[in-house]
Amino acid sequence: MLRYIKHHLATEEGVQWYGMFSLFVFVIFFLVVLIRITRMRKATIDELSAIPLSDDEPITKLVDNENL
Amino acid sequence: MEIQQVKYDNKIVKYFTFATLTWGIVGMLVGLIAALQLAFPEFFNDYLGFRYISFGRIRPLHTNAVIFAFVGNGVFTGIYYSLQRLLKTRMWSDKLSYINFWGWQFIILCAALTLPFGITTSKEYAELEWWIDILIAVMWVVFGWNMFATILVRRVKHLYVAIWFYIATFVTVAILHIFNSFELPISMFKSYSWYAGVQDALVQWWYGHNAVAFFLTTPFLGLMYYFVPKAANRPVYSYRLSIIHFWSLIFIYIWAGPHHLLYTSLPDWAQSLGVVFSIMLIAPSWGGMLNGLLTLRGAWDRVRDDVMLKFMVVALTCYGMVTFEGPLLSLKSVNMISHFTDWTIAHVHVGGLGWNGMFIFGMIYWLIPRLFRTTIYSRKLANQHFWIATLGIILYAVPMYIAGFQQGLMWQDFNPDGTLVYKDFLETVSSMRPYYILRSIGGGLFIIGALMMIYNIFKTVRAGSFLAEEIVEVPVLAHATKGSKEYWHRGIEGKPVKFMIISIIVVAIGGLAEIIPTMAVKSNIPTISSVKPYTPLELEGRDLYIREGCNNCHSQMVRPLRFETTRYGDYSKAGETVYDHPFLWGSKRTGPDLAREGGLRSNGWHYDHMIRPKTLSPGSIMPAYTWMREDDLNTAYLQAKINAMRKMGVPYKKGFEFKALKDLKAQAHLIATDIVENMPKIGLNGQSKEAKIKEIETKEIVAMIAYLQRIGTDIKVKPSLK
Repeated sequence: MLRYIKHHLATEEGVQWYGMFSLFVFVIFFLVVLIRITRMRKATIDELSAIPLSDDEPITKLVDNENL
Repeated sequence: MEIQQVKYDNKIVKYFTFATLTWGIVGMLVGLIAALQLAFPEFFNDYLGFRYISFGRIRPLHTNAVIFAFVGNGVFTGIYYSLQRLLKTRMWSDKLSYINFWGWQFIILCAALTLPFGITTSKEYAELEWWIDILIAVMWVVFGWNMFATILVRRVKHLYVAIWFYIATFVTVAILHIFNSFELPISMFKSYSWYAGVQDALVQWWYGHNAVAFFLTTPFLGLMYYFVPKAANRPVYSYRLSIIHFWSLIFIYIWAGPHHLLYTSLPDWAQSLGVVFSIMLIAPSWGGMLNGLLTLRGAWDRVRDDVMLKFMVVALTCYGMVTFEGPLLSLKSVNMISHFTDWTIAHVHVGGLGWNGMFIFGMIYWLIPRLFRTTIYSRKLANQHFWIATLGIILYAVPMYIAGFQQGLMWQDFNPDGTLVYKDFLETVSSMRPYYILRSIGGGLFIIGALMMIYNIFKTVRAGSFLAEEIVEVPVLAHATKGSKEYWHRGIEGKPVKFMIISIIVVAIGGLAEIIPTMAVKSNIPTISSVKPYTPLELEGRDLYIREGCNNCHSQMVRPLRFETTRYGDYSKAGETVYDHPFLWGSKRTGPDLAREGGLRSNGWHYDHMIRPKTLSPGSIMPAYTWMREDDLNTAYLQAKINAMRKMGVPYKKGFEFKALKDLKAQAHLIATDIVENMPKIGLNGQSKEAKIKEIETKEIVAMIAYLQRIGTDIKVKPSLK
């Protein structure tokens, strides 16, 4: 494994491939996160973003309505 | 629905708050002393020339105190407060909480009791010796263990975004700290980095950069996602953005380390990779900053009245500026000017004073009245603190920016005939003085502000009554049912262990991408046959160089740029530092580069210069190292040092350790003889030459000179690349 990587790092073309690969990994990862986030429901988002504000009235706001 | 009573532990929050304030003042004061030493070197050299407060020793004390003591305790304060509330659960173990607290304070005490004595590894922000490193690792695990156990027994289903940042902080700092701290102990107070040269540099800056990312940034972003919505009394601007922010930030940050090594002998492709990811980093950083600032939408009127919000707004703005500037500094053309100058100092202080400092102040102003069930003693005083601190930051940063830019340009200024305009490095240093004075004033103002805060907090605490156990009633967690309605991220954040593993993987991708080259470059570094291990005396001298923290002001890295090679000589090659455990490339040039120092000047010059820098370089701001002339060189660990070096791959011949001392004495005698032979009569002080040689050949200064005369000379012989 390491020998394979080293082999590529030794040449200029190989090094280029290494940088491109790193960028691709991130772009794909980023797109996956982005797509999945756009598919989140508004109601869940509101519920989640209210978590820190629920300290003051712990009893009423904490209940997970979906599961009651 | 079953309701349970939960008691939040406020006492631990109080402890950490007080520790934050105490160490904050200490760390800042040490910084002020260091700043004053550069502004008024004569005063410190003539009246306060104590070895324990010389610049090279207290600069690391300042950075460690501010990062790990002030900011570290501040982070714990915020996490221990918000974690319990976000999870509706008391900390899992009080015992662990207090072990964490006292253990951390003990580590800080150890740092304060070792660094001024020159007990240091020399690696930036990781200067503490091996056994303190182990203590740090243990305390970090105690903290993580307690946090994780609390997460596992929580009374809410979901982990709020702040907690993801806490988890990422814990995981990544642990990885960074452990990998960067591989060192071979020689004694209780001395160890050598396991890595050498380029590899050591790469690991160090992979650590250094990400220590900023995961110790000074991610925990604060987590705290921002809790405290800003709390203070503004409205939810975070965009929860979707927070998810993107989190994953992109932790993915990208870890790659950017090599931007600290631009134009050095690190392979070029690794430098480029660091640059690309640094530029990309603008996006998640600004995503986070905007998410924080936009949380205040519709509540801007409250910023006028609420002092806590004021601090937060300045903190977030500074964060925005710093994270925009960072990527710019990682561009090679900008870095060429900024690197090794005070520009970097300005950059880190906008981050340290502005982002971390102002955030912590704001957070404490918000916490104390709640913990002590009262209102703040004086809002007016808090407001004054805000303005004086903001002014302090400006007065600190602006002169340093100008200083850095100016000095960077002075270094590269050429006459039409191809000679350097500022041939004498000292000229560029002397022109920094007005900026150093202004910077000290800025830093001083910031400390005055912090002292005003302490008074305000003290009065508030006196007036209030402490709520040690805050009791709330919360419903018992209803178990989640798995259904199609569950969206993916809820699935992850509902399962902390899975979440942590995914975080580790995301961080590891970037980490591996930097570690693979670290392993690969070993065989890619062109070995230079003329590069030989240090002689025993040079090795001891090198350890003195580390002890005195010379690397805090002197780099050993000539970049392959015309203005550098004209000034210093041949540029530094990767193969030259293969036996350097640790590497000493440095990151700041308060004094000139030393990579080609060897053989440039006579032994006698160095002897005089170390003891009275100003006589040979009028206007020099270097401390006088008089004690090196008086103290005998300690050779007790010489054998162990040679053995350790050999164990790490330095080719000392077998059995060399037994004749090392003889070798050392012979070299010391030669140097001492050379010094005395060329000494003016007055230097002999009425002694005979023989007596004088005998007197100085056993002193530390001879070892130091031996090392200085060796640096960079290997390839001055006949370089032959294998």
